[in-house]
Amino acid sequence: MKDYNSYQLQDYLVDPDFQHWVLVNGFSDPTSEWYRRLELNHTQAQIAKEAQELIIASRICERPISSEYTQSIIRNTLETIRSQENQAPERSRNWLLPFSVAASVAVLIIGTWFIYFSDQNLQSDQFTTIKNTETTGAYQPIALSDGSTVLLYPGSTLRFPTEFNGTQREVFLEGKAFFEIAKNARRPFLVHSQEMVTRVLGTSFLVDAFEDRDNFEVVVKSGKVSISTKAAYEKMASEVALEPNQRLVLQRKEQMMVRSVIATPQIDKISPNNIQPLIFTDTTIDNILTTLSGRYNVQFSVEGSSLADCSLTTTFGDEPLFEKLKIICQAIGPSTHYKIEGNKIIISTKGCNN
Amino acid sequence: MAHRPFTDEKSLWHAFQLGSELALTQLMDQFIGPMTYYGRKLSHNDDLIQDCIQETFIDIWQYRANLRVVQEIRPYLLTCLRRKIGQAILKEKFLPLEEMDAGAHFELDFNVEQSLVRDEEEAQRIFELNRYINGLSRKRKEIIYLKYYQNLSNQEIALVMGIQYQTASNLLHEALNSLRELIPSKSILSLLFLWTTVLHQ
Repeated sequence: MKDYNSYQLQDYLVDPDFQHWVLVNGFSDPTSEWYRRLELNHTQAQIAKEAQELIIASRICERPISSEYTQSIIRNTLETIRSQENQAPERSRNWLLPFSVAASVAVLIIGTWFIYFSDQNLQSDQFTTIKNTETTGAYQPIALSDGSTVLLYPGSTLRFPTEFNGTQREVFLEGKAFFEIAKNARRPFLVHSQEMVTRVLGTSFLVDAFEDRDNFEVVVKSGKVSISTKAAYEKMASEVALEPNQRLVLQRKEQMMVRSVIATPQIDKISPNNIQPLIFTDTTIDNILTTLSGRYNVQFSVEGSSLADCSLTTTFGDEPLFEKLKIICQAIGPSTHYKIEGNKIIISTKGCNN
Repeated sequence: MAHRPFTDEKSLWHAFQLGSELALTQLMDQFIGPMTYYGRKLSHNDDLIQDCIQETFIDIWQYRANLRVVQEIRPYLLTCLRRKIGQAILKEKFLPLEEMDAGAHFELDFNVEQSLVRDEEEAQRIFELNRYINGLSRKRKEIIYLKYYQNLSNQEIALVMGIQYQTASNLLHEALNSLRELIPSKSILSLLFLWTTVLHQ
């Protein structure tokens, strides 16, 4: 309980409750707590009045800023930088690959870009948050809007936009996940995890970054990945590039990045075996799904009709899991689709060639 | 309020320099307010302020990889904005040399809402207090504003106003001294106390 009877001028000045009262109604509201308290104590009322004058006098009267005003600055700025980057793609500062697009294509893209973005409410990019609460150790498969696949490990959380609208594809990871990123040289993919940013153009890699751990880890299976931390940037050191079969350990206390080589069998122990090509010759869909399930540690179930009599001849490389599934579904027939329910991938179908 | 995924300024600036558009968006969301308030002290032209803020963000995005290490984001953005507004005003009219520095005026509007003031006497005293502060020179007002209303350090003020650290310290000292001469002693002490302890946003 505050002792209001011995309040000094400075006590009033720093009392947020008093400040609020002064600015909302002050002495004009006889029903307020402060009014009643001060009415009873003449000495305190004098001090409070002086404090009130000072608070009122030292406030700068600012016209409020509307959210439309802020939104319009954000929208205009983003539109400008996006169109600039399409007109004159920058020739790599630290970029992994330089862009090279024919001028005619660029013009075409700028045209459609403007139409595309004029309809977007840039600020309200919708984000989805998925947490894998599994205790069985199963991965949570996530299909991103660009065709990329994320397998979320237990206890981990991924926050991602339902649509990638910007010049980058950006997600936020707390914990551990395996990424298979759809190739798109024009739109880098950024994984933010605390002080570490992992940037790629199209590749597969594992990020292990639980907030409460001493070390963060990134392991690359295919493609190239670059990792940068706040500390590295402060020391003006550039980022560290990783190639396949390389592992980076970030020692968080020292903010030191250590790169090492990791053998394939070891990688396959800690992440899905997605690299080794898969060759299927007249293989039944059930068998293909069983193989994929083993490689990715995810569960499939077929709904609608049996696929026991359906078989397929195809070869898979390092395309993301959901790209592979798209190819399989298309091969089975036009009425076949996949969806994610819980941590299961459901293939719903009316059978082959239906 | 938009979601702000970056929780501290260092992560925010780091992601921004790496080309994160989400970081840029959060930067704008967070700093358009203080930039606009500061801009309004330098110019009455709202469109000009909006343009200058946009150009500031477009510029820093373009040069993001080459930007120096920024310890504090707010003074850095205010510095860029002040320069932009200065250039924009120069383009519009010819100013005498000594006033060329970021526009001719610096206005602090301490207008008091009528509803808050109880009686004539009180209104008069508040009016007086405002008059004292607004009676200061442009630079003195600006330094008081940056110090107590944008909460910048003397070092940061020097950066924003484009003056030496020592000059900034002297200027602040002069500004406070002249207020001390003008305003009855008790009030100025309390006013200073209010400025230094309460954050005005």
